[in-house]
Amino acid sequence: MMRRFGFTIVLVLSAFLWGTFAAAQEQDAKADLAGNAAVQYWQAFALMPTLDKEQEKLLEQWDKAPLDAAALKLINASRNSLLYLHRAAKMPRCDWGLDYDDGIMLLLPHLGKARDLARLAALHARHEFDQGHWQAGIDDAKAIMVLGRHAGRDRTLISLLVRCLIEGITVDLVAPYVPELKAAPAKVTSIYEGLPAALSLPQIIVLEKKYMAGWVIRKLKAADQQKKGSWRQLWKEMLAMSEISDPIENVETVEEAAKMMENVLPVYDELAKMAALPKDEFDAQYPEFKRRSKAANPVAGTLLPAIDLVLAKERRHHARMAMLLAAIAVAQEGPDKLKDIKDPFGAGPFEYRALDSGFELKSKLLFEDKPVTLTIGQKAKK
Amino acid sequence: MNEPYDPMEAELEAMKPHGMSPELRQRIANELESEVSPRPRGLRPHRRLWGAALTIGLVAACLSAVVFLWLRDREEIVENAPAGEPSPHSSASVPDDALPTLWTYRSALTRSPQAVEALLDRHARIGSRADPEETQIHAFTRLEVRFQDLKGGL
Repeated sequence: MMRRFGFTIVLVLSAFLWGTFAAAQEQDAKADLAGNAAVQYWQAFALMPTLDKEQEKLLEQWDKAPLDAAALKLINASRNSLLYLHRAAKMPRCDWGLDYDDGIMLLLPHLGKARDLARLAALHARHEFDQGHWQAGIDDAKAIMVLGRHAGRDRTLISLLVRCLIEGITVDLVAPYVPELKAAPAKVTSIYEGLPAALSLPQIIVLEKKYMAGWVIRKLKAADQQKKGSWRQLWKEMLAMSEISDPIENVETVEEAAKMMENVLPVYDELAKMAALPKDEFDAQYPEFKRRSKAANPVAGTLLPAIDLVLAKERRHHARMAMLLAAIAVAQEGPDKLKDIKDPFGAGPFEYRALDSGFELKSKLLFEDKPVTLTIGQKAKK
Repeated sequence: MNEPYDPMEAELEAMKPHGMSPELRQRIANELESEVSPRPRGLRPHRRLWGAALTIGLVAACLSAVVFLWLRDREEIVENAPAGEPSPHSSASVPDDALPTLWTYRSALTRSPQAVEALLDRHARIGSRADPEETQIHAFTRLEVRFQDLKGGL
């Protein structure tokens, strides 16, 4: 009798413990999902309007297009999407659920949609600014910045590029209205510094090594194990999008192909170190590094990312964002304030040039052989 | 009239059960005694078994909780096991330009960042819904309409 009683007690206790644990787990899972900004973004994407050709053009020129009936129609159609954008922007955590084991076949369907969502929000913000609804426009600008950081949180070069593109939309959006915004520079800086952290290029290259080159090696070996010789087709198709040189095309065995790939792995490490160099050193060393790597291993030329192009875009964005923050300070405290703000790509401050109803800042950074500039104020409005 | 005498019946009648052996008697007596007077704790196998089961159960529950908390706190990327045999649901092996894959974007990047932007535009339009302006998504549309009717009637 006592034994049965004891057994029942243990059983009930175990069931209770397990039940409590399972309930806590379920609650946490729900809280996890609810705290993931990507869930909100995907709802925003799902509710984005389908664009006709005219609307596509309008969205591409969101910063120049007149805010006429067609623009207002598009703004109105994107209302629900923007609701979810703002909800997502309040969440610090964003997990797009990418499976890096998909390697070079990793699908990134959110990136294009994120950029379109940012442009829709920018069009809406322009309309708000034009009506003098400053806070509503600033809220949109903040949401776009957070979207950029969230889109760029995945460790791919493309995500980094898209982050720069989306954040660049904020620069283009805010710059024309800086003199009228009368934003407190300290507050703006604090908002900027409070954004989710952005990944650096060296961090991304380390992951590219693992999930690009590493994936190709595994996939080739798996294909050959499944069917002898089938690696060859895969090898050619994977490299078909780039220029294929004879040494790559004439590889005889899967081991040889895998070896070629393995030889690229240390080059990624060098590349990561190079990406962390100051601009002048990078510019001086990169061309030789590229030539040497390509000559030593033909696959390197095909597989290694074009980090010079990405870095050029990232630096331009960095300079423009720094100029926007400087411009907000200048608008409040006058051009003398520039003496306290250093151009991140020069030895001194940004160059200042007064315009009729605004001003222009110029960095020492060159992009496509021209200095990077930012026009501030109504003159920039089209 | 009596039935005729059956020798088989007589044989059966003569059969009697054996008495219990002294060993069996002793064993039963021992067993009965153990029911009445408990053995010292250390010698009870059932209790030890329960104790062990309970301990194992609690340890397992604690371990599960630790593993769960660790998994929950672990942010960043979930790295799956290296790809071996491709499953029917694994990603494609051959790059397809129409899909927004890492490879497609990377290939575009080797041409120029502008080529990436063009691809982003193209891929952004994938899977857009049919007629957004006509579609109003509200969970309670019908209810709202009825409520309006009701208000009108009051």
